[in-house]
Amino acid sequence: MAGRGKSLISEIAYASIQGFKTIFLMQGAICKFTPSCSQYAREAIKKLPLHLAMIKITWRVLRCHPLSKGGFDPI
Amino acid sequence: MRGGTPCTDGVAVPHIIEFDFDFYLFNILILKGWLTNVNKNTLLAFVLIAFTVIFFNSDFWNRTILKRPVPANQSQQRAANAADNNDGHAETSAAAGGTANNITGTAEITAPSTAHAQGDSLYITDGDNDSALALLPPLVADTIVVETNRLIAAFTTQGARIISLKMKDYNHSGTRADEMIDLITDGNLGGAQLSINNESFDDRFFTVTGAAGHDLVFETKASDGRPLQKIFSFSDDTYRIGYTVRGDGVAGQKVTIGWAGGIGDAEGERNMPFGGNIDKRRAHYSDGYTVNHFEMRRRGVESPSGLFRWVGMSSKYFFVAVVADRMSDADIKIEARDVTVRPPNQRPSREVDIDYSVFYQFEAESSEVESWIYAGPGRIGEMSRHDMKFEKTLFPVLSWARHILWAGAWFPPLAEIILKILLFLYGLVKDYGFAIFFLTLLSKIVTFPMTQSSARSMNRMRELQPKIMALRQKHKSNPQKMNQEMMALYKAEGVNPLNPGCLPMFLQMPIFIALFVVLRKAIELRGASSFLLPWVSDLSQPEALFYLPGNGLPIYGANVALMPIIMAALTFFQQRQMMQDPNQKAMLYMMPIIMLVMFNSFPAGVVFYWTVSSALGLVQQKWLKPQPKSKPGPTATVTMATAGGGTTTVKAPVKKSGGGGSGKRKRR
Repeated sequence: MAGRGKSLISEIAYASIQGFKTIFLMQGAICKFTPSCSQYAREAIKKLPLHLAMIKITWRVLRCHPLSKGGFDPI
Repeated sequence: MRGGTPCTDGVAVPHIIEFDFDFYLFNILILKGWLTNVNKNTLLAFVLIAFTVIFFNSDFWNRTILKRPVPANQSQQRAANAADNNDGHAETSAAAGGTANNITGTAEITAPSTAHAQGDSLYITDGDNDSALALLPPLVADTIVVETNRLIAAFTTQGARIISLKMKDYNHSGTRADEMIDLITDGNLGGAQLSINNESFDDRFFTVTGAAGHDLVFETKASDGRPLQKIFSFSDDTYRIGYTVRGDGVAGQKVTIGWAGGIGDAEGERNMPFGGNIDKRRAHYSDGYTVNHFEMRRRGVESPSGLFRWVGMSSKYFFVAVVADRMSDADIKIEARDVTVRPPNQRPSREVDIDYSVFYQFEAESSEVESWIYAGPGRIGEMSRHDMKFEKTLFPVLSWARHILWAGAWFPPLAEIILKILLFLYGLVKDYGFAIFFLTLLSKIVTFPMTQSSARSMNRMRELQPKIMALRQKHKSNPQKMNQEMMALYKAEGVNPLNPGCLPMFLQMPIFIALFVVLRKAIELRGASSFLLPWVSDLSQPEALFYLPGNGLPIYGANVALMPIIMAALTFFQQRQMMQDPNQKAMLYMMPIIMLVMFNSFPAGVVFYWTVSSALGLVQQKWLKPQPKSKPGPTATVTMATAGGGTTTVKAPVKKSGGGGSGKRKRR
């Protein structure tokens, strides 16, 4: 049951990020990393405790700026 | 989020859901997520959200748990009361109109001939000609009407309270467009309350002892027999009403001044299912430098104490504050109570709303306590001229939003700057449609560096789409391998170096949100029409090309607006270009529909901004045709970490950045 709840939250997070892109007309932004930030968030929430996942996601987004090299960065 | 099931007439009325913008947005996101990946969990998430929405709008939640009282007969009675009050007010103002030029009454009242001399703007008239104004306290309450260039205020001699306060520059919208807005909805309470040492003077009869210059003096006897005066002073061109209490027994006592009558719900007549017209009242108090805001969701009392200067409340467009002469150690009492908003000829749009009564209690230092009242529009210039930080009540950041990256600190100034730019642009072009257009253009220019490279890499991505699809197919069973391959492809095609990444996307968001909030909240757009949008009569209201019969479609509403249709078409066009993933086919059709429904009930100004922004984004993208691939670029050596921990070195051509944007710039 716990696993299910977590993947539910992860889906919500993923959907939120995708939706924000559309609503705020920012579909152009493509992640520097693979997997992309939204997928990363989804995975992180699924796999890690919520607070750790939040920290990881925040850190990931902060690294995803124009000067970063990007790269393969799985959770 | 509030709502309720009105069943006043014994007829079942469908739930009318009122959303906060944030909540609404959230919902849309969930919808989109569902469409993007229809899997079990997402579906469950969606169902959960739907359930939540229904639950929080249900009787069970509103009545049983929150104990919001909306018995049918009571609300009807309240509506009737409100109607009576309105009639009463109409009469008062008629009296004002009728006697303004030939002032009748006794000598005391005709005294303000000085006011006439001073600009022919201020009239103090006796609304009831029959009453002889002796110095003996009358047994019947009398109504005194004062008119300035800005306000028509009606006072009752019972308690010397303001029972009606109409603004000459602001009329109701819709069917009552020829009626001035009355800031006081409940004339039984009114404004300018007074009690001394908890002894209320609000039911005591006063006599008018003087009306000299811009002042109106009421007098009564306190319980110890000593005289007590309430003096109101007006000025021609502001919304400030001076409020002085004078009496021998006042010094050293605890004086409470207040405004119990709440604040008018000017937009109550409008009937919108979504976000368009939430006219929540908020309470504010301040020490003159920082302003605290809050809203209460049900009846209750808040009583902060400390060093304060003013306490007030705001509706969507209007603001009332009780301001002390100096900062004092005060006890503030903010009382939330239910009011019923129900226009007589429409189905009830919202049954219960919260209105506030505010009181400011402090110890009087002398026998004369000076204070004043601001009651008027939430117009930034009008508010800031009093130097009380009233303007900070315009864009408060409330509840949970405050905790997101210190939003309370940076959001209000940002919104204020955007509002000032809007007003500046209006000053140049004298048309709010054009002003919004240029404001959107400006926001596009500000975010240009970010969107530019986004658009460019989006074009590259579109080009690469077939290859990506092929890769996906190939490595379906091995996502890690797929990721690596995709990375390699991006590197090889030079997508990443152009790409701004995800962070700038988040950095743009505050600007978008602030623009949205400003366009939705600015009183300047109230009733504003535009040359650019001839079919829109009011930029602060949803537009309507025509109306569907009856109540229209659920959620969509009865009005059919043009711009959301354009916008949906733009979204569709843009997404069709972008999307080649067949899994997202449903999205392609659903997202425009969601936007169409969502924006249909949004204020025309907001939709106009969004449409222009969307169109400009599309133009920007179109202008940047992907550069031919055959063009050899400089090669760069890129080191890539692989999952195995080793590194591979890939020689990849790097696309030159810059150029390509010239077309866009030429356009401007």
